[in-house]
Amino acid sequence: MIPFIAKKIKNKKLLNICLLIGTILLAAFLCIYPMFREGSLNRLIKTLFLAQQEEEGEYPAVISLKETLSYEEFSSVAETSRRLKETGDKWCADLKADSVMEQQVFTYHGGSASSRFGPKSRVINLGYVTDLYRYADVVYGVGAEEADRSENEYVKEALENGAYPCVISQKTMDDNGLIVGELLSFKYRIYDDTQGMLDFVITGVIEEKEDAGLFWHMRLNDPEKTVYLRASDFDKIARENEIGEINVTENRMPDYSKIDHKNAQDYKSYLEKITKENTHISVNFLTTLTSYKEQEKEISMILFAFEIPIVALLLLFLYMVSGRILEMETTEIAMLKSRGITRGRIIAIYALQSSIIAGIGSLIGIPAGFLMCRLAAGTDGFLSFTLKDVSTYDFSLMMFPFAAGAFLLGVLFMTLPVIGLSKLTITDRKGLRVSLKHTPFWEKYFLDVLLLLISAYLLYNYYKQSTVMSETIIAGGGVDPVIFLDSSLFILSCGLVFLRLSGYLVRLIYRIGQKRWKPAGFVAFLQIIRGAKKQGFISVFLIMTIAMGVFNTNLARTVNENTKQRIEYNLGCDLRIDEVWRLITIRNGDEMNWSYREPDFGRYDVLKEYGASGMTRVLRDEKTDIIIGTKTEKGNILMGIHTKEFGTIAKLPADVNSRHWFHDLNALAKDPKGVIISSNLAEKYALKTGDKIKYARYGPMSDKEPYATVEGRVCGIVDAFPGYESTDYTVGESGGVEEKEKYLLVVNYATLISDFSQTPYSVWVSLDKDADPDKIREALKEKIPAIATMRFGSEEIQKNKDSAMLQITNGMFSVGFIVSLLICVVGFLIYWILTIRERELLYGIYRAMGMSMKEIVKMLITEQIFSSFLATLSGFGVGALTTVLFTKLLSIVYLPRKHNLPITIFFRLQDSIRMIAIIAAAFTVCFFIMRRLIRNMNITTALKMGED
Amino acid sequence: MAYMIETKNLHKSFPLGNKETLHVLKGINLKIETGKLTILKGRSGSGKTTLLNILSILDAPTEGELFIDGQDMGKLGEAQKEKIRRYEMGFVFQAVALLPILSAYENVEFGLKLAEYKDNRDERIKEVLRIVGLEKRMHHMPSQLSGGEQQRVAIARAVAHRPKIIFADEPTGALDTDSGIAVMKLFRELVEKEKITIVMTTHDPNLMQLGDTVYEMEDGEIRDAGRED
Repeated sequence: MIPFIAKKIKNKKLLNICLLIGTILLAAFLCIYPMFREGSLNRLIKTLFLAQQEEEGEYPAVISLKETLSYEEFSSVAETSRRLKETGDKWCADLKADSVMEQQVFTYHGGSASSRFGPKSRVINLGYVTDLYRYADVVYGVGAEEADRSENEYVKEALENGAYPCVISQKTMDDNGLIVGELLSFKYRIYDDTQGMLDFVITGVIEEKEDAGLFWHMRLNDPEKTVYLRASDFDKIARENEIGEINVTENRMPDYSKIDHKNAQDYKSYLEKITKENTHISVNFLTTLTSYKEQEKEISMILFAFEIPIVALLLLFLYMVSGRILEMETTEIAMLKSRGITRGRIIAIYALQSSIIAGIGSLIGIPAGFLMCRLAAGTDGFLSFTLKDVSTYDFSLMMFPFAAGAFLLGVLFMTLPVIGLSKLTITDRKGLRVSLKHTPFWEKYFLDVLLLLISAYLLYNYYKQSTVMSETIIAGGGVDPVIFLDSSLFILSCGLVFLRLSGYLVRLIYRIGQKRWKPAGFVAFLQIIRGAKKQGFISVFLIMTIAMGVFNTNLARTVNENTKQRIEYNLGCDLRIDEVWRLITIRNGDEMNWSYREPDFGRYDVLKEYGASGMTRVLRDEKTDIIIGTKTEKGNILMGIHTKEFGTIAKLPADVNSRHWFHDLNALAKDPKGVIISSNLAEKYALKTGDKIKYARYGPMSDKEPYATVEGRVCGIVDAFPGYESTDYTVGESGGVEEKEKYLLVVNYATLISDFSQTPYSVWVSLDKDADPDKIREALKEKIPAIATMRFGSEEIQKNKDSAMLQITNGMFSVGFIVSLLICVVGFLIYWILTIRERELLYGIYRAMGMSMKEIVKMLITEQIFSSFLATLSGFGVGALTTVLFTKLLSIVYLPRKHNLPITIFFRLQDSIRMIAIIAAAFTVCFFIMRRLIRNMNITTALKMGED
Repeated sequence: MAYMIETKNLHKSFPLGNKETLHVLKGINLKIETGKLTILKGRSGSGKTTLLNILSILDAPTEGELFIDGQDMGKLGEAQKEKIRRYEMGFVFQAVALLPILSAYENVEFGLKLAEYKDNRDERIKEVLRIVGLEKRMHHMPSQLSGGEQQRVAIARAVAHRPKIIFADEPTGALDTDSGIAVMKLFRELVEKEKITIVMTTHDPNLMQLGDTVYEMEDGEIRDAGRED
């Protein structure tokens, strides 16, 4: 049987190559799923951990055990340390993770101390940190371990008198007015609530080492006002003095880089288990893992939703090509039947033939899928391929079962057409050709209209639920993948409806000029009307490919551009720098006076050498009260700006407010007491320009009472302002999202400082396009070591582009479009090549009857105009309609938050031109191939071949 | 006596792969009378289809002259030949060469459109279909007609625009004997009623008596020419 099948494949080389291409693409596209999924999930884990690290400013994977031991339970530091270490080691062993760092802290709280030189009484804690001197520098004096070497007279004296040596942090020293040599008489609580007395002498001051790595999870100052002792002293004090409760903490940092999609669930389950079993254990990355697991579902679903339309298109392609082969082999099939070969055996022959092709296709599909996935992972936008690092996306063993799935699907769809045909006998065969006027199933039963109604209903429903949907997404819930499938369903149904309508249109045009059509038009119209079933496939391919291309381009462009705009808007400028300001507090009786020392702004001039074109101070306070009459709105945003500088440095699209925002800045510049307010505030309190409002600020020492209240005059009302988001979301304990409206006040910087005194501001910088963030960071590191945050717009935009969801969208849309375009062109080409070959006799007859070459070409062009060209146009139309109807809805998935910048649909002409160019090039190539085939056709040979 | 077609020393050879040539027609001289049914008979490979292709200016001779209605075909360009084929000739091929997407009526209509037939087209279509006995099946598609019926539609299409000559290559080749004889009778009727010149090839000896003139071909040459009685 194999040689027979091999011969069959060889006889229809071209078509079988098309089937092979189809199965390769099918297997490749299916294989993308596990690889892209796993890569995206690994990237997601990495992103989530990094985000946590940035947000919390600490190592994002710490397991902590915090126990409180009575003096009886506490044997010694060494013994407890060993036990804690064992526990930590067990965690790492169970998680199969390396331990990156370990920190053990012992503290005793609850004593008060009087000092020789300082205040008489203050709360002091006793502490011990394992490996303290490995990760801390002694900046003054000596460490407690080396107390004997102290040359401080007070220390020597105290030690001789039996005081325990200890060290303190710089902060403890500053806050409590302590010095080296200070003797602390420590009054402590014994287990039976009686009190004991111990003396400690401060032998040195310590600071965390800069190169301490991850050690200082619990900072040196976290256990406040602590004096750090030697282990032996801690033991002795605990043992001999029967002190109350001792807190011991083990902070273990496993290597989170080993967490990936495979073991994330194991990690989560294990951490849940240990925290449930022992309430003293806490984990700082359980939320990260929970969030990951929720997004994992979402990513898998969305990837799956993106795969379905292309896989469906590929299966349709295989079915179509296989059907064409079988149409050409109906005689052979009927002959085999007439020779007594059973139907089952005929199906088996074709199934085996399909298996050979699908087998080869699936094998090649695996590496092809690998390359396609890497290509998709390297995108930066729709059809924007880059050479960025895509090593996270690696070969997955799961690609094999997916390739096997592709094999089975391929065999099924290639063999399906033979099931019907295998019923035919040689006498039935002729009847097969009668079916020219046969109406396709979907057209007869109005399936196209039904599908369109279903997709329209789903769309309507999704729009109705869009608020709930946004809230679910903000709360970390998943996305319903049907939302994506609905757009594909809409495109398919619109395509089919178009086919129905274009059929009516062609019939109408034909009827109108039935008697007047020249021979070429006459035949062409009848060819379209009566060959609609065959051409329908190609038309649906064209419509779906183009419509999906247009829609995907616009959706990807809209999501990318809106996200970029929102990032730029939220940041407000190219670079925003926040420096750590020193707060100076002075006690004045019961009151605590405070002031901030403003760092030298001139130091930022260095940025000019690195591409900064301007910089300005922007004071921002997010806890401002707004008082209107008797009503107070709490927790609002107050910004103090230098209007002129701000106008040149800050970024805001010109058309987001009812008038250009420069008008409002000018109004503010003219009125020192002026206030620009947000439109939501104006609407709520019916405020207008000229109205007066009061606002109050809170100081750094108290959130309860504002320290100053000032009156301002409304000079401008804005919907949007750089850096101002009017809606704030918080996820409640029940998991629901709470939405809070925030109001904005913008005042003159000078007025703000004069009314409220100096408070920390941010430095907003505008940068040249070629400014390098790394160089700027490096330059500032030297000049300004106390920088708290430095946010570059360009980096945040890039980081967002690399987010798993956007990567999947851009990648899958781009690769999906290329695949669909490829099969569309291949389908189009083979359809026409076969059609021309089939029509060889007809063309011979036309030519013999005196039809010129020009007329035949005209006939083909007419056919193309009313089938392919109309389908192409319709593809663009359907794509545009889908964009209008679905883009805003689907953008919610990526941009669920309400924002001052409403979602704008981005349509870039160059995207369409690029697509038209690709399609036009494909059509031109196809047309020239067709023309060449016809031109090379010799009339007598064609007639002879036709006869054969 | 008027001759519709005259050939002088027609030769046709085809190049073979090994630099040799296949000499298919070897100096054909014949005269075909106007308004008569002329049959070219011969075995397969005798060159009769090649000769018919040259006579119907579908193909050009390697050497020799061809005159149709007194006009030297060798001096005409492709466009002029197309016009002659379109307006003055009709074709019936061995394979039932109807356009499968057109009904019997539309197939004939297509022929008329090609020939830019000016009179009442509908009437003429019905008339020729009546002549071939298919007026009741005029809206059937080719696939719904038998082989003989299809060939009759092809004949109706060939004659509808009243061409001067009809060329028919083995028009009965794919038909059973009865259908073949029916087609031949139809040719005879057309010759007599419409005064059309018909040139056809066949290898069926049963059909010879229906021709006015029969040329027998063998190995690229006319071996015998005679009138069948």
